[in-house]
Amino acid sequence: MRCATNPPAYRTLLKGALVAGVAGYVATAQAHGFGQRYDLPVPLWLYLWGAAAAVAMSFLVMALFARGVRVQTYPRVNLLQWGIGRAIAHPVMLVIYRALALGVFILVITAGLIGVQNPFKNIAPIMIWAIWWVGVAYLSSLLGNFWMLINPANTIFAWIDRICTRAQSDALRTPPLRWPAWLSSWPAVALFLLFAWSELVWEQSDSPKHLVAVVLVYCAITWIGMYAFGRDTWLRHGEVFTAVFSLLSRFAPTEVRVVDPKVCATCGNADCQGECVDCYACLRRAEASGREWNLRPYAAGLLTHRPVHLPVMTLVITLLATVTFDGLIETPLWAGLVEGLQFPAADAPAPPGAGASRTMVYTLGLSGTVALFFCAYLLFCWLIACITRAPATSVAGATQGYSATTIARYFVLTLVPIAIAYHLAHYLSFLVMTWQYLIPMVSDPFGFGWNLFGTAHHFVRIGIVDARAVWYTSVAAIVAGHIAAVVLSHIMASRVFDDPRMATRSQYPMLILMLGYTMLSLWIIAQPITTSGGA
Amino acid sequence: MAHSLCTSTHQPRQTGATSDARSLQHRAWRCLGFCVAVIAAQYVLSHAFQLATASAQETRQAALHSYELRIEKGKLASSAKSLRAVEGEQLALRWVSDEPATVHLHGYDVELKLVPGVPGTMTLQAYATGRFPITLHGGGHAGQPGTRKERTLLYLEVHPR
Repeated sequence: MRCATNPPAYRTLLKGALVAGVAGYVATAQAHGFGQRYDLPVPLWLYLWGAAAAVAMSFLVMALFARGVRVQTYPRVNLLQWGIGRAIAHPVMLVIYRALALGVFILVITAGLIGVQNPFKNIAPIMIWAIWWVGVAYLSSLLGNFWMLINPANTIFAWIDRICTRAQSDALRTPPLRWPAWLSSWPAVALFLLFAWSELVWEQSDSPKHLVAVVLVYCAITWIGMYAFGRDTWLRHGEVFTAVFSLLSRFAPTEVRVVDPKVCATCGNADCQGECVDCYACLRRAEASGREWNLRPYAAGLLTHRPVHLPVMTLVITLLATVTFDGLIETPLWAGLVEGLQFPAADAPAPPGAGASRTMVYTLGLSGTVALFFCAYLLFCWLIACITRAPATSVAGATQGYSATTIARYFVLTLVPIAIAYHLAHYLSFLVMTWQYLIPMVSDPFGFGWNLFGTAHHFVRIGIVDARAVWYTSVAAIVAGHIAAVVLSHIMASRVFDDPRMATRSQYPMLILMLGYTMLSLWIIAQPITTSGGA
Repeated sequence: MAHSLCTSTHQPRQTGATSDARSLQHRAWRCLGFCVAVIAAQYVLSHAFQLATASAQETRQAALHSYELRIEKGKLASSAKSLRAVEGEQLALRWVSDEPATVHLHGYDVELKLVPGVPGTMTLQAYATGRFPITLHGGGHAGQPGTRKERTLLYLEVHPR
């Protein structure tokens, strides 16, 4: 790391400017979450290196896997066999983690409701967008599915539930409504679309009051759903963040597993693929001897033996599209598009309807990106289906093969590493910077001028982010994500197709799709960050 | 060696195809490790190169780079989209506006109030790399209710040495 070289006179000037700047600064109409990103675009030569590496490695993987590979299971190490693992996962510690998360949740809600309505002084927007949404997504992909543990809405419901039904046993309490099978996880998909809209398009997403109001409404929906259909059922089918963070944590190197088949028999989870992984419903009911907390290779959890359900596939594609759209809206291309559509007269003041039309343009952009991703993915799956259709062997002339949607449902999880890698690259320096804003805010969460821990005037150092380090890490992450995706795809192909030649043939369209997605991700980080001017 | 630590409830049948697949897997992991090592080596080498040439560039650090920027009718007069500077340089941005305005450099958080026709200067040392927006608050009264819109004039790009 380079050494800081701030002359003392400059520091006092900057401190004064910082105070003046913060006092005078008006919240921008940036629809995205708190804080700005000051990333430099990745230079062209590095972008080309990354692209070339992705292409070269893909062909290398194809060559290595050409003779077929059968991977039935992955190596696992049970962390509970060691004292330290048992200590971290001790029931008392779990209660402490839940209580901490609940405490932060209550703090954020309170700050949003009664604190100063300035996103730079109130702890609510930064906590929700940067620490929770970006941070938990990051950690879920890199560490494991801990959201299931700390979900505050779940904690509140579970504790109230336990208090209320102390007299009766858990098994006797049946929820009044049954989850209809056709509904599956579609509510989670619909809610995710709404959430993505609120993150990327909604203009009030920085306002503490509005944000917290939406959070409370969502909690109410969650509690009503849990009461009506049962806590586990709702969490599995309707709770958006459980669905999204569980999906991301399939990439992670840890899992919880129940090895007691008697517990799983009473689970009622239609998605269970034979192995009980990350099912907290079973985990709660299992004995200590039937539980495992395993370390596993990265991305191993993205492999399945059966195709995923249609709503899960839809959620994955929507997640990928929104992550990409998040980056697209900061490119000069998008800024030019928005300005061209909104302000036909370049130097005229913004017309009164401009706010509404901006929302419409962004909403169209978001839905357009989601639709585009769907079409592209299904097109390539259709190509794979065509290529792998076995020649007719029977007299009747019926061809064997999978439909495009079945192929789509088998392979969709293999695209997730690219999205995770891009998300990492996009938000790395943002997180490093934004964590610093928490330091003064912890001493003064409501913006009332408190100084609880003495850090209220902490100086945020923008110089701690080294542009070169960020560039290399970003490109390396995206290339690594691409390689992981290609490897996973090959393993899935050998599970889906019996003939290794057919499996390799099926990978050509998939490789083109993945290369396209990776190039798009690299292109986005090579673009200079441009906020659509005037808005 | 890793396998001795593994506890697996499913013992795969050790057929020739599976062990063949295992060796392929290991090769793939090794290739990946190699690529990561190459990229890491490149990073380390480039940093070493940078440190070696840092002394030669110390004289450049002390130099002052000044930029003349004119604001007309709430927009930048020139069509420049960004200013390019190098880490460590002393920068002086001289602003002139035809209307009262406040110019704000994000990141470094430097604000400058401008009176029509009177030039003002932002001086700073570019100690942090990045792409920082410079925005215009109209009316010279930053924080005035209703002035939700602030326009980005251009960007200051500070590139690593």
